[in-house]
Amino acid sequence: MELGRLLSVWVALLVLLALTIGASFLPIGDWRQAINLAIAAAKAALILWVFMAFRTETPLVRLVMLCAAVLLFVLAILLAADYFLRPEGFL
Amino acid sequence: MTIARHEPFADIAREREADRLGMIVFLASEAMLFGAIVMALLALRTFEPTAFAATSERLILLAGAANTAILLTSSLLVAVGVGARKLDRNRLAMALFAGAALLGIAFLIVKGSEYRAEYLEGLMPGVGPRQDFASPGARMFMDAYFIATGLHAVHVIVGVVLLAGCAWRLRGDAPPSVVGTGNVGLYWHLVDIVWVFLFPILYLSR
Repeated sequence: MELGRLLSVWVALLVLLALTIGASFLPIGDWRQAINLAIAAAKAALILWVFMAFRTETPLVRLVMLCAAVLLFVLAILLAADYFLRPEGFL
Repeated sequence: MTIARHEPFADIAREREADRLGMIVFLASEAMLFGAIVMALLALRTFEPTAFAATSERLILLAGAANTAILLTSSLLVAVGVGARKLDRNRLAMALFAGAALLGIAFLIVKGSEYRAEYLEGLMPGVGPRQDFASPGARMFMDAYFIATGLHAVHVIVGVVLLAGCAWRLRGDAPPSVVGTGNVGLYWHLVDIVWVFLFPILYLSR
C-alpha cells in the first residue's frame, strides 16, 4: 500500500539521520566523512525514488535527473583534478 | 481525478510526462546551483581540515539535527498530500500541505535562532558585537556556512509560500491541478535533499 511505503521510508530516513549523527562520534578518523556522505546519498536516493515518485516515473524523466547527477560528478572530478594536480606551492 | 487532454499532445500520458519533464529540468538546474556550493565546502574541508573541524564543532548540532527531522517529516506530509490530491481527497491534502508549511516555518525559526546565537558568539563574518575567528580558515567556513544555509533558507521560504498557497486553494472548489500540487511537492523534496547533504558536511565534520 502506498501510505505504508511512504511511512516506512520516513522511518528509514529518521534511522539514517540517527546513524549519521552516531557515526560522527566514532573514533575512526576520515572514515566518518565518507560514511556521512554515503548516508546522505542513501537518504537522497530514498527521497528521490519514493517521495518524488521516480519509482513510477517514465524512463525519459529518470534520464534527465540522471544527467544532472552525472554532470555534477564530472564537475566534481574536474574540480578535484584542478586542486590536486597543481604544482607544490602554486596556491 | 480528472485530467483533460490539451493540444498539441497526442494523449494524456504524453502531456503528463511533458509537464513533469519541465519541472525536473528546473530541479536539475537547482541541483547544479547547490552542487557547486557543496563542492566548495568539500574543497575547503580538504585544504583547511583543522579549521573546518574546529568551527564545525561550534555550530549547534541539536538545532541542525532537529531541523533535519523537521524537513524529513514535512516531506512525508507533502508526499502523502500529493497522493491525497490524486485521489481527490482535497480536504486531507489541504491539511497535509498546511502542516508541511508550518513545519517549514518551524525550520526557519530554528535556523533564525541559530543565526542569532552565531551573531552573539562572534561567528557572523563582518557583523555583530565582536568577531571570534581562530583563523582565516574558520572565517571562510562561516562564510560558506552562511552562503549555503542562507541560500537554502531562501528556498525554504519560497517552498513555504508555495505550500501555503496550495493549501489555501485546496480548501475551495477551484483546487490547484494534480500536476501543480505534484510539482510543488517535487520542489519541497528537492529543498529537503539539499539539506540532507548540507547537514552532515556543516554540522558533523568534527
